[in-house]
Formats: sequence, structure tokens, C-alpha cells
Amino acid sequence: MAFAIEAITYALGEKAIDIAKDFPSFIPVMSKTGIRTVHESEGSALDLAEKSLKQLLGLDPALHGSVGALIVVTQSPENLLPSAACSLQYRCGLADTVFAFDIGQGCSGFVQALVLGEKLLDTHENVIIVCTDTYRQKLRRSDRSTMAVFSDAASAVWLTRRPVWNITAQSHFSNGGGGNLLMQKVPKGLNPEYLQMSGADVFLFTKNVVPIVVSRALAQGKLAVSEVQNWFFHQASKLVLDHLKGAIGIETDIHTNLETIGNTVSSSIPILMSASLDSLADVMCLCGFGVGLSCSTAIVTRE
Amino acid sequence: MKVSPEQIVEEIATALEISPNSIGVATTSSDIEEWDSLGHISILSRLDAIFDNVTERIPELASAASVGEILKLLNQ
Repeated sequence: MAFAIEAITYALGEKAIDIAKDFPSFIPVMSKTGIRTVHESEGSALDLAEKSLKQLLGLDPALHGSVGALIVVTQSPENLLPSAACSLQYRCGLADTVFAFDIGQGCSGFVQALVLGEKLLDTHENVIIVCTDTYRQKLRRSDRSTMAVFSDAASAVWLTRRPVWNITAQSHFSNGGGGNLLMQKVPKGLNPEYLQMSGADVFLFTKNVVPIVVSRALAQGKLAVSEVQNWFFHQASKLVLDHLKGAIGIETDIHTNLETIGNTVSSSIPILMSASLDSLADVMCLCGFGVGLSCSTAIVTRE
Repeated sequence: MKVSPEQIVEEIATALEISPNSIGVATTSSDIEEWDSLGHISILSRLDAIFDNVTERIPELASAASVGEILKLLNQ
């Protein structure tokens, strides 16, 4: 079904951290990450989600009572149960008829939610995707590879049946065999379990697998790389984005906001898109990748 | 492909943005602060650029933890 992205709102962690000033020992990695500022929240991912969704609901008085489906993408749940989507429905006072569920996915999650959300428009008038993660609460403070990269954020994306866009191709990759390369175990005792990332292996995954997933989507959509005008990649790091651009053969600029936003995990693509929502060309490629290991790519074409 | 110890020391030092004099073939990742997860990605990126996408052929480079180990893998 053709759909419109009516609006995107987002909320960053309330504390902006200037890496050079607050973590001088991390300065050497800034040229690799491309990240100058990260954002940290003392609240929960659900708090950020509520903030971003309330911003979105405030854009149109009619929206609040007509949300048909609410998809929450998160790997930072406040509780193991109930779902974040049900908690968010209640916190924001949405109707109890809303179809609310979670997707427990990280950086690929928004693209997966978009693919599902477009289908849900067949039966639900307004679909909202909320992505929210507070990865910084999972990190070892001394780990510059993650502390200098991840930001806490939530985003809310409003989809309607207005015929503007079509998902004309999609390609996905899932391989739990690499799950241990980016993992946080459930704590079994009193000790916290931190996020563990084998950066080099994850880098090789993005370098070797993501271009293939993108190529498959392009082939399915019968498109050449040069025909895509807007590239929205998950904002992993400058090093990764530079490699992807070269490996895929993209000769135009790609959208990026790493420098001031950081890697916001599930929200990185929505926040990136929010800056250019009113000026999109006719063909865009959205590509999320990471934890799983997973990668999801969608080619979205103007109606 | 035959890579000399001097060359690999030079390339790794460049990737980590440190002096080549500060490392040798026996240096391990735990000896150098800069050789953390991001540092290792920089090394792989540098090796790919110099040795024609070598990590695709030798993915074991991702888990190599010393200069000597990287040298050995490249010269296999």
C-alpha cells in the first residue's frame, strides 16, 4: 500500500556530552567515529519514547484518538514484561483499541518496523513507529569504543495511507550465529551485564554483508546505485559509513548526522530522515544493520 | 603476498596513529591503549586499503591480537 511519512519527532538524551571536553582520552578516536557529541539520558527508554511520541501527538489534535497501530522498536526495555508498546499506549493515553506490540531489534529495527507498518495501514488508519534505546546505560564507562559512539534517543514516525511512497523492494539478513559479537546478557545475579561488542568482527560484517543486502534490494527494485537519490544508512560510525559508501559504489553524498547526534541505535535512521523529510527526491534507500547480526534494507519510491 | 615485519609495524602504527618505534612484532593489543576495538577496526581498514581487501580473504584478522599474529596471517 502507498503511504506517507507525515512527521518524525525525536528526543535525545537530556545530557549532551562534548567528547573532547568531557572525555579527553577519547579524542584520538574522534577522527574514526566522526562523533563530537553524544547524548545521555538518566531516565528510561520508555521516558524518552513518551517524550517523542507526545511531541508527535501534539502536531495534530486529531491524531491522538485515531492511532490504529503502535510499533515500538527497542532493545532497552524498562521491564521484561509487559511490552514497551503497551506501557507507552497507557502513558500517552492512546485508545485501548490500538494494536500495540514491540520489535526487539536494534539498528535494523526501524526498517523492519516500516516494512510491517506499511502492511498494517491496510487495516489501521494511522500507524506510529516509536524507536527508543538507552544503550549508554549498558556501557562500561572506560570503553571508549562504545562510550564515544552511542547516544540515547527515541523517535516517533507517523505513517498514513496518503499515497506518497511505496516500498518497491526489500532485502533482509539475519544470522544469530554472530549474535555474540554484539550482545548484552540478562543479569543472573546482582552484577550488571554490560554490552559486549567485538568491533572488528562487526566491522567485517558490515563491510562484507551489508553491501550484498543493499545490492539484492537494488536488483529486486531494478535500480542502479546511481538511481538512488537519498541514502539513509544506520549511523554506526564514520569509518563504517565511509567503507559502505565505497563498497556499494555510491558517488553522491549520503545523509549523515553523526557529528552532533552520535549513534542512536534504532532511532538513527528516523532522526536522520527528519532533517530532510520535506525535501526528499523520488528514490531512497533505507538500510539498518547491526545487532543480531542483522541487516534490513528497503527501497522506497515516490508514488 | 610476502609482508615484512617492518612493513606491518609501519602500517599498524599508521592505523593506530602512534610511532612505529613504539611497537614491534611481539606487541599485543593489550600493550597499547590505542589498540582497542576501534583501533582494531582502523588496522583492518588500513590492511584492506594496502593489501587489496585482504580481510575478505582472511577474516581471522578480526580476532588477531598481536602484530606477530597479523603478520603470520598475512604471510600464510
